[in-house]
Amino acid sequence: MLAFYSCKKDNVEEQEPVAVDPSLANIEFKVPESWPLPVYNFSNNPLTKEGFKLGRKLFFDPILSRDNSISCGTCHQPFAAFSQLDHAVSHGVDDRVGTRNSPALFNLNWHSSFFWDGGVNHIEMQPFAPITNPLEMDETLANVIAKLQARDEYKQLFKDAFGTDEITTQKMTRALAQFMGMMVSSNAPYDKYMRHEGTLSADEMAGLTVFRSKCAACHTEPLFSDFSLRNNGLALQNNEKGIIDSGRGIITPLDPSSFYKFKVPSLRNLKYTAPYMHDGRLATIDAVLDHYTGDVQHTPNLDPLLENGISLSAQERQQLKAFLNTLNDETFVKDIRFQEPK
Amino acid sequence: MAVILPAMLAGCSKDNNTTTPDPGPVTPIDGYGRVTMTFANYVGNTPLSLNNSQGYAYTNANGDSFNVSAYKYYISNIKFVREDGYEYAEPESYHFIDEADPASLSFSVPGLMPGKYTAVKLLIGVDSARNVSGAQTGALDPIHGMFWTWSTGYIMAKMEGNFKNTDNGNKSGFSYHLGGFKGEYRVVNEITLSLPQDLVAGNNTASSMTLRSNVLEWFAFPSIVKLNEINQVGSVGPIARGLSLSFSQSFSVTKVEN
Ligand code: HEC
Ligand code: HEC
Repeated sequence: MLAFYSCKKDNVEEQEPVAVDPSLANIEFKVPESWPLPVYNFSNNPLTKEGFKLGRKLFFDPILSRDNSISCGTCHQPFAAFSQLDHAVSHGVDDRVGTRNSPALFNLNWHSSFFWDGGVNHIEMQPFAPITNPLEMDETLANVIAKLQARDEYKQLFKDAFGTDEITTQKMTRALAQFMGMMVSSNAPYDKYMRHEGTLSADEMAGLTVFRSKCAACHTEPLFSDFSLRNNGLALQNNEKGIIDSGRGIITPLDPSSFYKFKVPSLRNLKYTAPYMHDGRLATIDAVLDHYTGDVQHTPNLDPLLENGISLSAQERQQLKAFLNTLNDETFVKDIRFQEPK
Repeated sequence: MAVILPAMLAGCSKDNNTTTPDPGPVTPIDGYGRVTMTFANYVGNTPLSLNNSQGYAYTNANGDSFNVSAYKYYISNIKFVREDGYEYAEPESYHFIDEADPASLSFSVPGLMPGKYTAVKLLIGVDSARNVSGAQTGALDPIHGMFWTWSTGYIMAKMEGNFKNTDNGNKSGFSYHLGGFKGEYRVVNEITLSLPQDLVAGNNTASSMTLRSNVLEWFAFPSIVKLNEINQVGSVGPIARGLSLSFSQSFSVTKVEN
């Protein structure tokens, strides 16, 4: 009897091989060797394949916008390291123009705050802003939840991920946090060099030295940002709305020392993320270096490190550019786990 | 000087009229007492009504005629103080009170150790911990519209309505959104209210308590508030802080029944 039973069971297994979706085969969060501990480590939101899968589906689904036209992925494109190709500032529903550049998204679990002004304090709280921003997705949370609840497919996905088909904003943003938190970029030539798996050319090595003396105080390794808010001396100019973006000053308007400070962005993946700066005003790396060497403005709260700009000889400049190139992580932008599901 | 603090920028979440899901009957805990807390919002001595947006039903100390269309706030960290000094703290104590949703005005707290309770402590607003620890649910779900998405933090209290502008006689809107959970301008205040009569908890007893807030007292800060001058409050600062203090001080316990 027993033998018969187990034999039957074996047969069943043979008939139904478990189909493994290769884009979900490796959903595990690992802190890259010698990196600091992340701020967000999924401790309240256990990472699962199902949660990640739901988060990915939500990220690429325009259902989160008022007229079902715009998804997170519209402004954060995988091939652009999740920034928006060729857009200085964001374009939302009805082609409404925003005021800031869609930042690249990777290594978000190490961010202590979100947005150019650091106004959002937690990765799970971040999605509420684009969903309800009239210039972005212009939707209400109540409508989003109602739309998701009306779709059997989502009921099943929430059930798979969280054990119940009750859909709440908390589960929605936790799923998005699982997807976004998994997006780790740590496989650039620089990383391989640091792990002794690869080498850098003489020029690139010289560029690393230049970088460490001229840029690393703010763009700190290995994340290439210290995530602080600083003013790097961009000229104050009117944005799309005809006003000067005061950066952190929008969040703390009563604190004059916060004006014109923006969160230091990572310098990983610059090859994919042009244009640069909070309003996308600089189109190329050369334009960025021209800014630091010759165009730093003495605006209120200019960072003391940039008081005299940054001097770069022609050779140093060329070496620095060679080094910045070693921060481009092709495996990240092509990672099948992070592409829009078919 | 007209003080206008515009509800800032794009990310402000819109209000929505979702109702609080009925939490269902609270199971009594054997051997302990239970108290039903009911929040009654008043304008002076008159129960607040949101259904008179056509005219101006109320008058504040400055003599401004006004009406109220939305009145919502958070109560958290409720503690019951027993005569011997012991305090019972309600676990997961977060309550969203929305005048437009009668079900939200009343809830039950089980688990009171037997004894005579003489005071209740409340936090008006949401403690800073829940403002910094990621996505919340239930009473703290941002779906209630009591949340600033562009600068993380709960809106602790909200009052909106119309007033008759004394400069030109026109109907104008006012909107007080009080937020800020840390620093000198925090609007989260703990208050201690003495009870008009002891709350006596025993084995499976059911008591009730009625708490009152008073719309008129919002206008007590900093001196008497003139609606012509302070009518849009939507960011962290001294005005929100001041309004929050007057609002918090407007609470009282008017009735206890055992
Ligand atoms: C209309 C374009 C647009 C859409 C749609 C959009 N974003 Fe963004 N995203 C932006 C812009 C612009 C910023 C920077 C905003 C700022 O700093 O004020 C941003 C910032 C972010 C950040 C912060 C990154 C950092 O370094 O601080 C995250 C995370 C993010 N978006 C995720 C999402 C998610 C998740 C969605 C979908 C729910 C989404 N975005 C939808 C344009 C968009
Ligand atoms: C004092 C701190 C500081 C130093 C030093 C500094 N930066 Fe920056 N960097 C910033 C800040 C802040 C921003 C964002 C400014 C903004 O958008 O308003 C920024 C932005 C950038 C950007 C745009 C990235 C993007 O995704 O938009 C690049 C590229 C950059 N810096 C490269 C460099 C290089 C190369 C050096 C050294 C030569 C350097 N920075 C030195 C603070 C600094």
